[in-house]
Amino acid sequence: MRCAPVLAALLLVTAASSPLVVPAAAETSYPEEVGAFGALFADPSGHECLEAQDSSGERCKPTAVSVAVLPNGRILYWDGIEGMNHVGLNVVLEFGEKAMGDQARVLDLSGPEPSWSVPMPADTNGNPGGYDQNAEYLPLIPHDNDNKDNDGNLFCAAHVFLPDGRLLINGGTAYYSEPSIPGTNFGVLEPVGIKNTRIFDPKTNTFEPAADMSYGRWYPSTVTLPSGEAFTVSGVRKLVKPIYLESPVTDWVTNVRQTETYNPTTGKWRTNPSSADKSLPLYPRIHLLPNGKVYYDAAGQAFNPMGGAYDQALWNLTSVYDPATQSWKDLGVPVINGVPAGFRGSGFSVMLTLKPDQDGRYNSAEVLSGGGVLGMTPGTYLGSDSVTLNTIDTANGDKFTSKSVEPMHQPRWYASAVVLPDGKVFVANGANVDEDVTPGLGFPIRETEIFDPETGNWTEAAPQTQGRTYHTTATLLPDGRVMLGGHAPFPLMFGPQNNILHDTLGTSRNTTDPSFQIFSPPYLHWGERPKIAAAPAKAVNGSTMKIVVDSPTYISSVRMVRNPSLTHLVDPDQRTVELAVLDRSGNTLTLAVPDNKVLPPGPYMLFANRDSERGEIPSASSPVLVARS
Amino acid sequence: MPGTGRGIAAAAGALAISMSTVPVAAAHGGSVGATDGSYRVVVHHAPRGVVVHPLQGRVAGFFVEVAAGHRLVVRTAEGVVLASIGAADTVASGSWLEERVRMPGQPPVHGHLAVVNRWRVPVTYDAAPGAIRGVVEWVPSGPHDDRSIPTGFMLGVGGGASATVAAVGLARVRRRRRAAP
Repeated sequence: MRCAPVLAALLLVTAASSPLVVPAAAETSYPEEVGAFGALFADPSGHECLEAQDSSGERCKPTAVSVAVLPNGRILYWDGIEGMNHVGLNVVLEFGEKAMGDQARVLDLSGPEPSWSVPMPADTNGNPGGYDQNAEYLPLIPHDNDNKDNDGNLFCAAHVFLPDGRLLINGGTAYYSEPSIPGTNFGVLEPVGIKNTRIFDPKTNTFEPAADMSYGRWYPSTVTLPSGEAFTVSGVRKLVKPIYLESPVTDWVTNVRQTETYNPTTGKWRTNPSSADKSLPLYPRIHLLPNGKVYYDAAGQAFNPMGGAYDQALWNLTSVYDPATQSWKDLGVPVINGVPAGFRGSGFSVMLTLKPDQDGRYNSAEVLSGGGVLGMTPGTYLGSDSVTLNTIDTANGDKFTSKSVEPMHQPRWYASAVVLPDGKVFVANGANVDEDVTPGLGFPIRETEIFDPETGNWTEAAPQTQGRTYHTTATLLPDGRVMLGGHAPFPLMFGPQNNILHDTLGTSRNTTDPSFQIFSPPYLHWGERPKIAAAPAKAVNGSTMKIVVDSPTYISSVRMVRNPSLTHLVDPDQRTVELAVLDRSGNTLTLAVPDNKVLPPGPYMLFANRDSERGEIPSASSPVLVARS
Repeated sequence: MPGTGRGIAAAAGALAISMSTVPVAAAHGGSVGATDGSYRVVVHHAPRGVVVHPLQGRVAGFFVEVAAGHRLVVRTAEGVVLASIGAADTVASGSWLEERVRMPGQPPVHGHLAVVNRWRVPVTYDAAPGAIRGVVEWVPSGPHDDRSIPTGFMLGVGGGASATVAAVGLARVRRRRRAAP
């Protein structure tokens, strides 16, 4: 092989520069202590594209960059940066033309074997009119947007469930080249945020177009308000050249500061008054507090636009948005590694279980964030193992406190976190370094770990088989297991896909991964699970509901988990709410259904847990749709 | 590569290699070498009763807490009010972007901690003139980062890998074309 000497030299150099080789995954011997992973599985139909730069002409089967657990238990997922296998020289030069529309699939795990279906329409109704109608091309600069297949991509959209269980998807990506090199397919990639909204209906397996937003948004975050409306923040209109000739200069070189709210009754977006404006990072980590305010956890993605917004210093502050006054209030600076440090990029942020006090009130929220990279421009490059616990005392004026907790066993850039039904936090996926900076040179972290909020300690869990470093997902399933998916990386140093370093040194794989792997947490190995024999399909805020269980005296807690809907480590609606048990009579438990601030309307998975010597064992969940009174 | 000749292919290859560093630079504020350390805004002085938290960024910011019954007012050099923070019965807080505290465009090339900028922000505290003062430091990656990989070296490896793959790809395309009837 002629290029063998070149490759050998390359490998030698790369190996010398990469002392962070992660040990190979070990087999699980004690599932009751560390849990266990099942076998990898993937859609048997379609083309794998396992080879770098696949040129078969067939489309690669999608990988789960975005995931939503539908109210019917099926799982909707879609792809990201599809078409990367067609890049021959350089992503920046070619992807404006070679990007393809992101495919979606629906996965059904209810049968003996997983099965898949293709939602309609195939183009997901992302941008039926094409990007040209909303384009913000720069004048006098040649651009090339001949490829219309990539003008309405789901990649980099936000998505939340509406109160009726349909999925609202706002924003996303259109690709083109600007400037372009006339007569060629080359130019400078410009990924832009689109204004479009689609709604996925699980009953019909279809995407339908909905009303446009006023602002294009790439990497926005959207959260459900107590009213059932969807509140969206941030995103960027043009990532590489954020210059908008028809907008005030204050809109340049920063993200979209204007916020918008979607009303599911009218089916329209409204732009909130300027008091609701706020500069936030991309995919800001936001959560709905139990007092109905939106909390920003001083975390998100900070590589944009053009290396960082001019006003990014303010992203270091946690803050709350009050929908009643439509204004923001700063809270404080999060502690990282023991000092008030502020911003965390490319890390996870999850809200721990909301628990009622003796009077049934939910008085505070705790948000756990960890991993990623630290600081603003220029931030760190190595993945962090640090973990922060922020507490918002909602009963006392949103008083903010922050502290470092025990670090993870592994430093992790872009790790996923899942709050389990027993309240512990499972962490998986990620790389040892920032793969936005040096794609293909990071090493995947295959070790997983579990955080116990009661002890504040991390415990190592079973290793995952596949390294999943970028554009990955981890999703709590209705049966209490966790499904890992995704991995859609940028190729080696933004060049063409190349798996040489992956195959030889174990760096992250350049090709996308359409497979899934399911983790059975330790609690599924601790004995018999409780069973929910009957539960209402619907519950009303502020009322009570009755559920029938097999052994009511053993039930230690009942928790509602919002159906996951996540992408890019972000699931703003993520919440686990413990319900107050009002009465135990025979096999029936009477539960208090909290108000719409604690439990905003929409789909939930209801788990009943029983105590064991090792800890709580959850039941499989029952689906419950919560509605406002 | 439809419609391109050898010259364009070569130019595209060269451009590809150079462009491959653009996102890297973009990820760090246009400074490729910036992964070897970071800037830190440090406060040395503030009026008594005022707690100042510097906020790191391309342009720095401040988060300030003011004791109950006091008021802090910050203005631009032109007299525009940036922040007016105070409340009669509780600790008040507020934040603002401070253009007078800037990070240098390029980080120092040396590997030791250094003061790279001194700054002073005039304020009015309970109607009396005062100031918040401090410095901007360059903090190189510390000894705890002994696992860190020199950024330039990493970029060289990555750029080399990218260039190698691109060159091999171009050579194959040319070979196939020559071989084609």
